[in-house]
Parts: sequence; structure tokens; C-alpha cells
Amino acid sequence: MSRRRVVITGMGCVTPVGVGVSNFWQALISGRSGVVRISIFDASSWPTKIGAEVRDLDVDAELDARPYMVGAARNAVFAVKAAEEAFGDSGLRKGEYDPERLGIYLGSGEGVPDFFSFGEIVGEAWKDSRVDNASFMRLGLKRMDAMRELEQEPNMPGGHIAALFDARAVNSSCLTACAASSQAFGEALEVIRHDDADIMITGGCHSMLHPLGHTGFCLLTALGTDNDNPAGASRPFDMRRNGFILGEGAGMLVLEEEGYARARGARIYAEAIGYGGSADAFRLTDSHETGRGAIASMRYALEDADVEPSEVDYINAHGTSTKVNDRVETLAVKEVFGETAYKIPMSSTKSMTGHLIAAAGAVEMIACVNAIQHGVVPPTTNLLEPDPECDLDYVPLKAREHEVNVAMSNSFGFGGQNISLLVRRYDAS
Amino acid sequence: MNRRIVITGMGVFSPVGIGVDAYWQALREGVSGVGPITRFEVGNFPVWAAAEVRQFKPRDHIPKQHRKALKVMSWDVQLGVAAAMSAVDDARIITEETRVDPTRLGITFGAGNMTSDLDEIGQAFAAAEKNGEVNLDVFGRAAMQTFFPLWLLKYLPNMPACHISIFVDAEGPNNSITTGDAASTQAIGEACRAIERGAADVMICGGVEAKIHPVSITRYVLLGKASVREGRAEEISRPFEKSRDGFVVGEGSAALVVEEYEHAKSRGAKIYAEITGFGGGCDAYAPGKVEPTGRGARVALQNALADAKLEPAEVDAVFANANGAIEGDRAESRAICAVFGDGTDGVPVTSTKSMIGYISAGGGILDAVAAVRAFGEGMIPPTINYDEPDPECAVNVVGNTAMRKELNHVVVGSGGFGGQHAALVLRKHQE
Repeated sequence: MSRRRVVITGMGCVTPVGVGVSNFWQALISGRSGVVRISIFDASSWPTKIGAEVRDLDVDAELDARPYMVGAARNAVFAVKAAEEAFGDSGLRKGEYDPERLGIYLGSGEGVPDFFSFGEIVGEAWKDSRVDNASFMRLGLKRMDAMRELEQEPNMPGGHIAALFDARAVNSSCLTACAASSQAFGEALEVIRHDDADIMITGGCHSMLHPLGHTGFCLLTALGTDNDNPAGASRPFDMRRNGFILGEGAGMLVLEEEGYARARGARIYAEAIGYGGSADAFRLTDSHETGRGAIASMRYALEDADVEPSEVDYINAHGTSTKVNDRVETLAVKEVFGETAYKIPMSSTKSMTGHLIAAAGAVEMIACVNAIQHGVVPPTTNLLEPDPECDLDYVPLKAREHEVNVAMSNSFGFGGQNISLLVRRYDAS
Repeated sequence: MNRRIVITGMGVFSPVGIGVDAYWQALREGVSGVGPITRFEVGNFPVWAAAEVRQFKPRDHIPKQHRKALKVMSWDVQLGVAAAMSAVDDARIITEETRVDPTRLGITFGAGNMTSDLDEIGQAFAAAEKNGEVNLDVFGRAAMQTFFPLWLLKYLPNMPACHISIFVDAEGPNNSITTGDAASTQAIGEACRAIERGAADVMICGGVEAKIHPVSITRYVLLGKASVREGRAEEISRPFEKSRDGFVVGEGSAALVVEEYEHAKSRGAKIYAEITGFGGGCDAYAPGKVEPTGRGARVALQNALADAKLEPAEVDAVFANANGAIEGDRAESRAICAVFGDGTDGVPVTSTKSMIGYISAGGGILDAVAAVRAFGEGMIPPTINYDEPDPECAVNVVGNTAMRKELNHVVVGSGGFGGQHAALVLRKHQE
């Protein structure tokens, strides 16, 4: 029995370098950074004071325009906005599809805490070096907002999007740290292949740019600290890289069974052809030094797609700009691709967007599809002093014209989950 | 399912017992795990009872060489990992003599948001809070000084699956599902899908939820979903019953080892049951509100039956999500009736939540473990406190005492907040 083919028919995104796919892509190929001094909250007393913020979206206005999202925060607004774009882009119209064949699979991050309200209550309940729980709960009943609390659950964005588009088939959310939305894309692909749905909205959304999230990442010493040079702070594969830049946003794609998409005359951007997943099973905070997990996920994706390493024209790297990731990812790519590794352009768009955590993979997939569409690969910006241990073609500084038929996107999560995806220029035959 | 998939290991940490035998014994006898909250002082809070896991000593369930990891594992993560380690032991996939190929062993776990221990973060807020306002300048410095360095990692929902992968060297696919009440049912289903498509031979799947926490309980009260009933603790959780007023928060975890049939047979594994169908569905309704017809649950049930190539009449029992929430139990009842028929003619339906409380992301897998034992004993555990039927829950509830019945196919249904639903079909194992 031949496997059901799956194509991409819609895309949407909200990113620190632009809202909407066209703005996002223009920013990437012109090498524009979305990293800024953090303004969402006053971050001046944290060691890292910069982040990749979504600036081109009035979150409050977007919320006001959607009364059904009462209590929602940035992450859910990003998700809905990106999904609306992707769905509109696909040409699908409510009433024209069977709602029980439309599903959702997101890599959805935790919602944004109601920080000040929560903090005041915790502060007031602090007595004798501990929080008095009875006081906390008494104050909480008076001051916490039910819907703002509910919206912190990671499955809420998927619920909102389902309600918007009447998506009644399988609805899943995964949260595998930085791999989440790539994993969601892969699982959504499998849902359609398995005939559990004909159409899937997939992608991710996340904002950890809040005082608690920021504290968490600062404490892990994972973040870059070039506070005086925001635009230059994310520099994957560069000698001077010193950590990732926390970003926020959402990316959404519409996947469809090929026959279904063709029957309705949909514009097809690309075909989703390979999904590989693995675990390092090594340490919580470090990749395995041999890159075994990354090697496995790339190989599984190639096998799944029945594609030879030499057929891959572009790799969108996980490329976080941390010391370990970029070195190990380079090592793993060389192991999988052999000598051809040196010939494949591999860039990290995180050099511009920062690290969107659960949403990272989805926007990077959108970058891959655009590379296929436009015959241009986006650059790794800020790569001025190459690390001798990172000696591949990272498309430094400037975008490059390059025909891309097959693109790979890598996403490796904190905790060891590795996902590799493959997409190909669509060929009807 | 396109391939035959079997269950070869189980582990459970529940409010009515630790270990599958203790858990099942309590369920069949209708023992409630609900009692006054002992984890922390609740004062005059309207919720005073919960279903706590008692006598859980995390150290006893973590391999010796990994015990230092306990301090970066929240209570939720500890419960989840413990269940997985028990299931792995039970399945004998890693023993001194033999072990399954690590690259063909994966993990899928259901989990929810985990909330920080308030004492870990309280000092920074206390320093920053003055006259009801938090000063960020002070907070930032204080948080950097007083939170412990790996604080963030202690509470991430993918941590059960990460720790398990490290402890057992599971290098295959690894996913963490966060769809609330549907999460662990979905985790089992997706684990089966991974085996179906050949991405793994053996999957450890599980789920955990531990929301007996001041923040979570406050949220549930604010949302108007938690029971504030007084009286005897063990009588508060009353799924499908007319006088119910909400759910009782429970906590717990369970895990299954699921395996491709030929793989299990060739290594001589004991086989508990088979998983033959999985389906998902969604209410597509405002999250947080209950879609009254239960359409998401209905779609999930129908999809699971179709995947199993089974007619509704062939199903012998349904383990329902019903947790005692007023609207939720009704919507689910309508979904079950739509698929299986109304009233006493319909399939027997039970809710373990009457005994173990509402365990959201852990609920489905705890039910799956119960269902497996139900096959073996030919017995459906009761829904306790079922004094007076709610006419709007027109399902055939197995009320108060266990029902003896030969079981060949059992359905587990889960879903709720957010609109996500999932269902599984389990089959009694036959050679």
C-alpha cells in the first residue's frame, strides 16, 4: 500500500523580525536582527537584558478584537494570529471541508504567568521564611483571575484554533522544549499519513520573555549576555558565541493530504517528506558529545523520506549560538553527510530571530519552504570569526541565491529530544 | 492499528495504592482515596479534601546512580518517573541478561503544567513586594540569588520523559503530550502509532499529574470546577451522580510498556492485553467552556472504534473521563450515548475518578491500567457514591459495586478543558 503524501498549503507567522510570512522572509534574507533591549518588562537587573521581542504586533489590540480569548496572553495571541494567516493562505473555507477531518497538532509552550498578581500574593503570603499556603490561597481567591490562570495551560492555543476553524479531528499539543513545534509538524504529518485526518494545522507558539521564564534561563547560564550589542548577540557558529537569545512568537502551517489539496485546486508550497525523532538519553542540559541523538534524528528523517544525503540542498540548523550545540550539531552533520556536508549551505536563522523555544521549529520550517520557493538561502548573521570546530558552510552574513529542492530542518530540545524534518519542492509525479 | 501492539509492562502510583495489585484491589472493592488534604495547611479554604498518593518514597524508585537527579525533579516528575521505572521492571526489557535495543525504545508521556514549589520562589517575591506591588529591579536580583540554578528544569513538562530516557537509555522517539485530560490517553495512542510506523519496537508510555498544590487548587475553585462539598471526604467525588458539585483533585501516575507483538513474543514477554484502536477528537468550542453535546468525545470514540475495526456493540465496558464536574459529565454521557446507545441497554460505564479523584494528564493511563486488570478478572470496577442517577447522564453506570462480566473489548475515554479528547480500544489478549 503506498503511503499518503502530504503537502504544505498554508503558512503564517508572528516573529521578532516580522509579522506575516512575507515580512519574516524579507527580514531573513536582508539579515535583519530582531534582538533588542527587553521592553516587555524591565529586565535591567538581570544579567541578560536583551531578547528577541515581537514588536510589530499590538497584542492588547489583537486581544480586544477577539473577546472569545479573554484571559489569553501573548503566546496565544501569536498562535491565533499565525493560524489565521496560515489558514487564510491555504484558501480553505469553513463549510467547505469536513470538520471531523481537520485536526491540530501544536508544539505549544506554557502560557505567560499573571506575574504581578501572582507575585504580590506570594510576597504577601511569605512568613517566617516560607510561604503560608493558607494565606496564599485566601488571597488567591480574591485576586487571581480565573481565565488568566486557565490560559497558562499549554493546550489552550490548540483549543482556540480548533474553535476558530471548527477543527474536530485529533487535537494534540506537545511540549518537548526547543524541539516542540518540529515534533508537532512531524506528528501532524504522521496523522495525515495514517489517515486520521486530511488536513492538519500545525506549528508552535511560545513566549518565555517574562520575569520568571527569563530568570530560569539566566540561571541556567544559557543566554547570551552582549547587552550592549543586541543585534550582534546571537552569533551561531562564531568563536565568540556565548549563549542563545530568548525569543518569542509563533509559526503555523497547513498540511494536507496531497490528493485532497489537488482536488480543491490548492496552491502547494512544498511536500513534507521526512520525520525523524530520537533522544540523547544522556544529560538534562548537555547534548551527548558525539552528537548521537542528532545523528540518529537526521538519519531517520532521511530514511523516512527515502532521500540520499547528497540530495539535501539546504539545512536550517538548530544553531542556537551556545558553545556546545553548535559544535555538536556540526559534528553530527558531518557524520551523517560525510564529505557532502561541506557543500550543503547550513544556516541558523536564530542569528536573527533569537530562539523561539517551542515555536522555533515551525518558523524555521517556514524559512525552509521559502528557501525552496525563492531559490535563496537565508544567512547566519554575526558570523564574523568562525570557530575552527565549526567549519561548514553556514552562509555567513549574507543571503545567497541557491536552488533548493530538498531542505532539512533540525531542532534539538533541552533534555535531549531531537527532531529532523525534510521538505521537498513539490512534484506532482 | 496496522500492526498488532501489546502491553507487556505496567506501573502505577495512585491515591488508592502503589503498585498494580494494590491499585486494582482498591478499585474493585470501591475504596476511596479521598481524604483531608495533608500536604499543606488549607485554613478556611473551600476545598479541604483531595486524593493524595501516600507513602510514596521517590528514592526507592530511582536507580541508585541517578538519585542525585531527584533534587531537580518536582514531585510530579518523581511520580511520573517512578511509574515508568516500575513498568520497565515489570516488562523485563532491561535486565541483567538482556535488554531491548536502546535505539528502538522510545517514550511518550502525558504531563501538564507544573507549578513551582512556592517556598522556592517566595523569598524573591517577598523582597520585591511592597504595599501590594512587585518591584522588578529588586525581584530580578533577588530571584537570581535565591532560585536554585536548575529551577526551570525542575518543572518542565518534558522532564518525566527526559529523565526516563536517561535512566533506561531510551534513544528512540521521545515526546511529551500536554493536552490536559486527554494527555496520557493520547500518549498511549501516539506510542502505538510510533510502533505502527516502525519508528520503535517498544515504547514506554505514561502520564502524571499532581495538582494538589495551593496554586492549582485555587485555580480550580476560581474556575468553579472543584467540589466544595462538606461531610465525609470519601463521599465527595460523585461522577454521574445527581448531587455532584464538581471534581476532587487527585494526583498520580502510571505507565505502560507497549510493544510490537512479534517483538514481545520473540523475547518471551508476558502479554497483558492488546491495544487495537486509538482516536482523537476536539470540541472546537470556546476553551474552558463545556460543549454540551460532547462532540469532541464522540468523534474520539468513533475514531478509536474505526481504528480498531470494531462495532460499538462489541465493546463490553467504557472507562469514562467523568470526574464529577456538573456539565462535563453530562456532555460525556451524551457522547457515550450517541455512540453506544442510551440507558441500561447501553454499554456499562464506570469512572475510577470516584475513587482516585481527577488526575487530568494522568487519568487516561490510570484507567488503561485498570482496564487491563479488568480483563483478567472479568470485572468492571464500580463508580462509588452513585446514590441517585443524574437523568442527564443517561449512561449505564456501574454504580457502587463491581460488575462481573466477561470482557473482550474495553474503551478508555479522556478529555476536557481545552476541548481535546482521546479514546483507546483495548482487547483481551488471545494467542
